[in-house]
Parts: sequence; C-alpha cells; structure tokens
Amino acid sequence: MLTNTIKIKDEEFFELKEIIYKASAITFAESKKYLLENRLSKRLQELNFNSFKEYLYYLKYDINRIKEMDTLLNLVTINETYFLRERQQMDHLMKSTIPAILTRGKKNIRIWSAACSTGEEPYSMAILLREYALSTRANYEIIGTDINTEVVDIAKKGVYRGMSFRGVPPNFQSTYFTQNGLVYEIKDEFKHRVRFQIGNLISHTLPAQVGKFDVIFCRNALIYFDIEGKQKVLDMFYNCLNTPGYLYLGHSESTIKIKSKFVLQNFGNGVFHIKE
Amino acid sequence: MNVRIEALANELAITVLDGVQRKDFEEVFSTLKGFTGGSIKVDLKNLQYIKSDIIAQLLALRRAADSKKAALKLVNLSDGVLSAFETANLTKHFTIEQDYGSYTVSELIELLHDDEQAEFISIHIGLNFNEQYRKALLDALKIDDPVLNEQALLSLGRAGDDASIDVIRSALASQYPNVVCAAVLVLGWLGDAASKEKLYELISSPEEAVSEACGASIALLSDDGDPARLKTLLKDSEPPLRKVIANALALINGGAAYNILKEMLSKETIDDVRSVLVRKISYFNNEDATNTLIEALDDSSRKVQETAAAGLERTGLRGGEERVFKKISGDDWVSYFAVRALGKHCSEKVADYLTQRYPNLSGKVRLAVVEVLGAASYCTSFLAERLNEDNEDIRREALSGLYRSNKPLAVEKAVQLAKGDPSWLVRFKAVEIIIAETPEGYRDILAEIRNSDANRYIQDKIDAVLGS
Repeated sequence: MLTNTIKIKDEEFFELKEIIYKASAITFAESKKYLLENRLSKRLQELNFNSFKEYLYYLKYDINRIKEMDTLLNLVTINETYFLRERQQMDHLMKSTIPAILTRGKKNIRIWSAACSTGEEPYSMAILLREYALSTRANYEIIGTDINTEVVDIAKKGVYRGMSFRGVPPNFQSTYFTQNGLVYEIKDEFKHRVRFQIGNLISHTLPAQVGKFDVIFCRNALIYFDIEGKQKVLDMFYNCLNTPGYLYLGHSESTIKIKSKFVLQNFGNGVFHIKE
Repeated sequence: MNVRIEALANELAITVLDGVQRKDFEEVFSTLKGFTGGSIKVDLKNLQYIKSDIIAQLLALRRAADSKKAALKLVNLSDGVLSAFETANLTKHFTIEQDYGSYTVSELIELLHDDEQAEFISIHIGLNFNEQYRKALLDALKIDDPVLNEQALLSLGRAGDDASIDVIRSALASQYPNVVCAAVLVLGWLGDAASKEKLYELISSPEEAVSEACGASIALLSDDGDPARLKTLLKDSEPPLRKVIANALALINGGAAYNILKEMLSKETIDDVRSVLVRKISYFNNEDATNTLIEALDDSSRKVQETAAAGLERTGLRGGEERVFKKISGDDWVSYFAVRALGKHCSEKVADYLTQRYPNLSGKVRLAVVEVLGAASYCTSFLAERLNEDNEDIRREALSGLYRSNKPLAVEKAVQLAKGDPSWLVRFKAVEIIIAETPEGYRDILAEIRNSDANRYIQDKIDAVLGS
C-alpha cells in the first residue's frame, strides 16, 4: 500500500510474462499488466531496482536467479481466499457426491484441493465433513497443494486472521478454531485431516507425488493458464481420478477449446465434471 | 429477454444478462437497423462465463457495427469471460474496457471485495463521490467485514471526505490490522492533525503495516517538531521501527531530518537497516548526501554497497567519478549501479574509461556499459560492434543505443536484425524501430517479417500497424 508502483514497459512485460509462463504455464493477459506492477514493485525496490528491465537482468544473470524465480512465482501466484468460498459446490460435494461414493461401499476417500492457496478450501472441506455428519462414515484424506511455497507454509500452520472468515455463519470461528489474540488457529481435529505440499500443476512428477483421488477441487486457478496449459492440467486431473471421479472447477472457468474426457453435469447454480 | 437495450442520443447501450440466449440478440440487431449514433456499448458485467454461441453473436454485432461505422466496445468482462475471449484469440478484435459507471452503487460496494479491482473501484468512487456513495460506504463500515471496511475507508479517503472524519478516526480502534492501517493512511491524506498523537501511539505497533502507515501519515502531518520527536522513538527501538522512522524522516525531508538519518546511519549495526538508511539518504538532494553514499560504497555489507551505488544513480556523482571508477570490476551489482551512476552525466572522459574497461567486464555490468554509452552520441561504432555479441540483451541494448544516437544507422541495422536475429527480444526491438521510423517500403518489410516470424508478440505488434 505504501510502495510506489514501478511501471512496466510492453517489451519488459512480454519478457517477464514468458519467464513466468515457462516456469509455471501461468499466463498474464495484457489487461493484467497492472497486477504484475502492483505485486512486484516492492520486490524491485528491495533489490534497489528502478525498472523491470533491471529485474529481468537479475532473473537472467544473477547468481541467485533460481531462488529469485521462487520469490517471483510466490509474489505473482498469491490468490486471496476465505473459508466456505463459493459454498454451493462444497455443499454439493457433501450432499450428493460423497454420499454417492459411500453408497458404492468405499471406505477410504481421497480429496485433492489442487490450488489450495493458504488452506481455507481444504480445511473448509474437513469442517463440512463433520457438519454433514460424514466424517465417521469413511477414512478421509484431504491433500492441499499449491505452487506458492509461502502460502503452503501458511496453510500448514492453520492460523488465520479475520479476513479469512468473511461471510461465514455465526459461531464458525468459535466452533472450529481456537482464538489467540487477533488470530484463529484451526483445531487439531481438522488440522490433522489435511496434508499440504508444494505442487506445480504442470510438473510431470506431481501425479506421482499426490496419487489417485475420488474428488478434485481446482477453483480459480485454470483461469491463469493458456489453452495448452489448461489441456495439460485437465488431462492430468483425469488421470489422477479414480472411476468414477469428480472434478469441481471455479464457476467462472471456461473449458472452451479444451478436449475433455469429462462429462459435464449441472447442479442448481453450478456444474461439475465426472470421470465415468 | 436477457438483453436490455437502451438507445441514447449517440450511443446504443446493451446490457447482457445472465442466462442470455442466441435468440435474445435478434432484438439487438433489429434495434441496430434504425440506430444512427456513433457508438455501441455492450455491458457484460452480469456474465461470469460466456458460451461460444454468444461470442459468435458479439462477432456478428461487431460486423454490423463496422458496416454502420459505429464504434463497438465491450465493457466489464469478468475474468471468466475475458479468458474465453483470450482463449479464442479474439481480444484484438474488440475494444475491451472497464466501465465502473455502468454499475449501481451497491454493485460497486460488493465489488470492493475483489482485491484485483478494489483499488480501481475505490478511485472511481473517489472521483464520482456523492451522498449516495457516502451513505453506502458508511454502511459498509458498520458490517464486520475487514476487507470491505478497509476499502470503504480508502474510498472515503480518496474522496477527501472530511465529513466522515469521526468514523474514520474510530476505525483506529478496529481489531483488524488492515482496517487500522487504512484508517491511519486516510487520516494522513485528510490532514487530520488531531489524530497525530494517536498515530504516535500506533507507530510502535507489532503490525508492520500499521507501523509503516503511521510513519507515512506522521510525515504527511508533520511540523518542525516531528523530526526530533521521531528521534526520541529510536531509544531501545527494534530494527523494523528504525526502518519506519527512516522512511518518515525521508518523507519529511529537510535539514533536521537529514541530520538525524545520518546520525542513525553512523550508529546502525544491522546491515538491513543500514541499507534502508542509505536508500533514504539518496532521496536528499545535497552534496553531503552524495558524499555519504560514496563512503557507503566501502561499507562492510554488500547489500549496503549496492544500495549506495544505486542511490548515486539518483543523486548524481558531483565530481566523485574517480572514486566510483575504482568500484567497477567484473560482474556484480555494485559495479552495475556504479556504471549507471557514471552514466548520469556521461562525459567523454567517462565514455572513454568505460569503453576501455568493457573487455574486462562481464554479464550485467557490460549491459550497463552498453546502456550508458547508448545515451552518448559519440559511441556509435562501439555500439555497432556490440550488435555481433552473443548476448541477446547486449545486442538489444546496443540497438536501442544506436537508435538514440544515430537513427539512420539504427534503422538500417533494425531491418537486418528484424529479419535475422535469433532472439525475439532483439527482433521485437528492431520491429519497434521500423514501425517508429517508417523507412521507405516499411509496410512490405513488416509484411515479410509477419509472414516469417512465429513470435506472437512480434506478430501482434505488426498486426497493429498492418491490420490482421
């Protein structure tokens, strides 16, 4: 808020965009140029740089360039989230999808929050499993992954500020969290149900690291990929799902021009994808 | 029908609603037949995603608008809709804009939750502030929602709304640090001197953002007594607070603030804080500041040396060239910034020195030399030779330098490089020069490059000139 924004020139933007794309398959449209300026200006100033050109030199020639790539990706991939965000999909998971899996006699259910940011989504699932009285009906393993090393560290700690609780029902914090001054720590019962790890969705090794799932949530992440990236990620999700398997994407995410083997199904105001 | 049409004097305003169907556009095309105005605005704010048949209707609408010589623009595309346009490679076929004026007050307040849009919306509210906005923002402050509270405060601040000062002051007691931080900043913007005591209490907050905001706002509200008062806070202070005080003093500026900063620098033992102090000193325009930075080039910390060299680029060397020459060696950031500082006033003596040293330098320091010499008119042959180097950034920088110092030669080289350089970065720069200078036959040259170059940035750049 207190940092002067350093403007990025077109050619610098294109070059930086290519560097980020090669490392993560994340693309930044021209309309998101301001986002890079806002998120990176402070970092540039810390490094004494007055222009993005100098920062590009740093990324290309400095001895610390590999480490800086992590810092860069951490800065540009932060996505703010909160508990019970876009709740209809989570309610659908609890009311329909998990009961359907249980009906087939499955006793070990694995759920993947594939772009979990600071962990609110997978912890919300762990909480809702209890609210819907599903938590004792099977063994659940919830995995949260994110490309951003800093948000994964925050998720592992499970300590949140008030910003993470906008729009939650009354008593949500007091029931599932322990307040410590201004922060709230998720209770161990839920913390132990979720495991976090760093995961780049376009990494070839990610499927082997995470294994097979019954349900995948990947919301508001595909929007940052181009067609090729989206295709790769959706194919990977398909391969990582058991049959049947369920995929929930963000409500605004388009799969136009993507060849998908999933079957799209509507529910109320939303959609989900099934591997049949 | 899921399309709302409003025919104004010179504009046809079309709002597309959620659930829109292809047939809903029949009415649009029918209205368009009798429309004689100059512009058509299609508001897509209600769509979170868009189906391909609706995109097809928008393309048809664009063709219809073209035939009537009316300018069509699409406004308020959500990320999902924009992503669909990008995926279909259609963004360059439409004028796409954000138009917050199309939203109701309550829609805009809700949108303040979107961290990517919040600042733009807040600026829009500030510029169009009225009683309706004030009421909505004050209502937003009554809700227990720290994101909304923060943005509401910032919006009131951007609107310069003194009438809400009591409410803003009361937000200093919020349990949420981001809300306190926003209130602190806004009180500074509004010049609320009565809050200064409270800001002095909060400046020691363990919340870094709150502390930083207090430093900035105290500076905005400062009078002659504040540098000395800030100095008193240094006793037994932690490093983060010392950085905050350094920033506040730099913002206050003036002799008293400068002397305190210098004294702080002489006593500071933490490298990181010393680096901040050196940076802040570089914002003072006086000879002593320059000398202090030159001395800091010999600091025990590499970080401080780098900051000092970068600061010298800001202050200029004021005759300290000889001392800076000694700092230039192989490939490090001190040398890089030192070269750039020398380049601030690149005399022939400096240019000769850098040209001679160039073969012994490497990496980014060479880049800095090429950039600095690119600004000097007497280094044309040096720059032309650099176009043959292996490093793409050096070739690009040399071409940019040539363009500044010898346009005809730069254009000649640009045509060659645009067609044959292996790096798209160099080719892009070359195409930029061709487009800017329009040499004879440039359209044919660009068309030839467009046909053979697979790089999409170069293609887009040329398409913008030749049309796609």
